[in-house]
Amino acid sequence: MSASRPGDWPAPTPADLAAYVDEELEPAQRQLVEVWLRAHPEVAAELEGQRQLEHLWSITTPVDADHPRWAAVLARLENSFFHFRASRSRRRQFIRLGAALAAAACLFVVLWPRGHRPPQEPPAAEPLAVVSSDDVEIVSLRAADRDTLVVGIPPVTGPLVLAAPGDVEIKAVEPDADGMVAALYVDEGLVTPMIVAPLDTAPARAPGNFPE
Amino acid sequence: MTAHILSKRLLYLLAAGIALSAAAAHGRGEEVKVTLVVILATDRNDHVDCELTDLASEVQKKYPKLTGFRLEEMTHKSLPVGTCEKFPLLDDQVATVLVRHAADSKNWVGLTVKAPRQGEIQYTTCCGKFLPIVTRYQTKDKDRLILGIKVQPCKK
Repeated sequence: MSASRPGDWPAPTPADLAAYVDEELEPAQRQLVEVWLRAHPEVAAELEGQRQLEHLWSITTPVDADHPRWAAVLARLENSFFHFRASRSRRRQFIRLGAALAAAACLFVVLWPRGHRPPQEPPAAEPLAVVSSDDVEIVSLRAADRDTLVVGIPPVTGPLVLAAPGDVEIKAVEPDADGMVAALYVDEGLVTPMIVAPLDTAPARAPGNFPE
Repeated sequence: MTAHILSKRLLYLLAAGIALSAAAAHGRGEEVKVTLVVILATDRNDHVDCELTDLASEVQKKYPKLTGFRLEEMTHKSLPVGTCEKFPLLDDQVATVLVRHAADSKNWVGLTVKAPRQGEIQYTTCCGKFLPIVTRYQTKDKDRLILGIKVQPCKK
């Protein structure tokens, strides 16, 4: 800031301008800045705007509460908090007491003997009706299933009792489609007569009781 | 007139009674319980079911190669006289049994039996004993089908 003409003087630094706005410059420097600003009205207008903004800020800054006021606010908050906890605790105790009373009432209703009536005996279980062998007739049974039969008598219960030679009399025998004729087979060595159909198609040659 | 109608009704009743008596005398309306057992005889093993020991020894006199005898199925049905009934065997084979008459004066029952692969056989037999019928039907394993037929009840 040592030039001969104000317009030729070097521009003040932003720090110089800020110090000027804050009125922190020395009088000589302040005079030099004012001279420079007259040569640069756009910067002067901008500084004037900043100065007005600062003024507005100063008049609209909220008043900071002092310590006693903050202390009073804190005390009120603490009182409210502890009062809330105390009332909440009382409400919980009331709910627990109510639940206990309700449970006791239910037990009372369930367990209290009703009048002087004798206790009712549980109904006697009816025996499960199961069929007996007389109720069931086994009509047909696979021999392999005999062991699984629980009720009933199978058609055959023991060794087969076979007919004796004099227990059977053939009345008539018809040949099969291929001419084979079965016959009553009674041999002297046989204890039991048998009707035998030979595997070959020739008529059976059984001795004894042939059909007539 | 009324006496004529009454006598006519009496005649009808008398005729019906005579018919019923005749039917009873011939065993109609009676039932005969027919028991049929299905047996397979084989030459591939020598196991003989305990119910078939006597039958096995008798069949083996004719067919010694048949050494195993197994009881497959047992069926009994009460058949009215004159009724033909089919007894299922195995491999979709059936045996047809007709009760021709119930126990007669000799206590014998008349049957007509049609077994697989053979013609009908009419015979009479006593009560309570099995008559073996060795058929010529063979399973795919060449086991021989044998039937045993018994009739009941027996008169005392």
